[in-house]
Amino acid sequence: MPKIVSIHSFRGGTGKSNITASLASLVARSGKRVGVVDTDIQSPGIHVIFGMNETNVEHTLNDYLWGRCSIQDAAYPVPQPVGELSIIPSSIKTNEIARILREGYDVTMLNEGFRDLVRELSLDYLFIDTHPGLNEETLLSIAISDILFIVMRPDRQDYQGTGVTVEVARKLAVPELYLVVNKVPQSFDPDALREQAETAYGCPVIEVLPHSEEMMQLSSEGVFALAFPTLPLSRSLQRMAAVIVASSEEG
Amino acid sequence: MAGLFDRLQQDLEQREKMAGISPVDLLDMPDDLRTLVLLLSRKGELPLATLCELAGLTEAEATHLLGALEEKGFVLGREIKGVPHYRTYFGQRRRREVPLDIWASLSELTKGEGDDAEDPADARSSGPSGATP
Repeated sequence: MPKIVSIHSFRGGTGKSNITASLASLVARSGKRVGVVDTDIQSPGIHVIFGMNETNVEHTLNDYLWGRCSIQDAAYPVPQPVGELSIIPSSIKTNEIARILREGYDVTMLNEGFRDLVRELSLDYLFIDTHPGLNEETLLSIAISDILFIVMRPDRQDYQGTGVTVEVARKLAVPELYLVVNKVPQSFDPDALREQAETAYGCPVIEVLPHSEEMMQLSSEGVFALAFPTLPLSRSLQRMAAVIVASSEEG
Repeated sequence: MAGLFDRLQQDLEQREKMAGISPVDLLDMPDDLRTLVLLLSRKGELPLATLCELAGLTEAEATHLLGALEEKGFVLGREIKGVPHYRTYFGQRRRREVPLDIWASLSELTKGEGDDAEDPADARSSGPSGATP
């Protein structure tokens, strides 16, 4: 049974896209067929991590939503030694971002596009990289997710919004809901942080991810977990990927 | 005049139905209706019997709830080979653009209202004492 995995955060800059790219790549390399959709239509970015730009992308999610192409036409394979990975980027053209904000789009098409993609590419997993905060496409992504990761930083600005997002996810009956605490400075006690977050939100913290200098150096020019597979951050991401795969195998 | 009012009301209700459900509407729904919409959103179009099984409802209960959702335009029902099937209808994502002339329009609308009142702009330009320099 294919699974939809959404990675969301209430605020921007939490590292959501980098986490999505790493998890999708790791799950694909465990021999699975994986798709990644960038629904952050207003501020797309995950394509950069996979080396995509305006010159090598012909169709995007925007084109599909405007009826210019099928959703499969907007799917770009990223070669993997094992498994399969396809990326569906959002447009990075200013006029196209402006158009979708101005004119809107058919949300049913987005939902049907997710299902078409899963069916046509025979996906085991569809990862959705969402726009931060709560808007219509984010709520749709949360509503249809089998697994939802809510990413937060140990920052007061993230705390309240994360609480709201957890509440929304509960209301939308997401079957598996996890918190991810990211960019945690080395001076913090990860176990204490985990306990605090779990108590505050009543939701399991799947990993406390350390702040990584290497992530900064990588500057989104590659998939972190593949570029630095032995670092503690990558180890945590590997454990998260294993949970995703195990969840699918269980049910 | 009542005829015109009724027609306008009907037009509005029809337009509301055509708009379909917004994911935001999911948050305000009663639990039983939300459960059905979520199931249909996650699984796609489903025959009534499958939906009843997944939701743990009898056909009579589900039909009643689906009727309410259809009435609002949130789900679409159709028969396939005599079997009723249902799917969510999300409709068009609402436009977000605020018209650029909104301030001029508001100004037009409020023209004549409180003309005697102090203009807030004047208040801002006044010093702390309220005296115009």
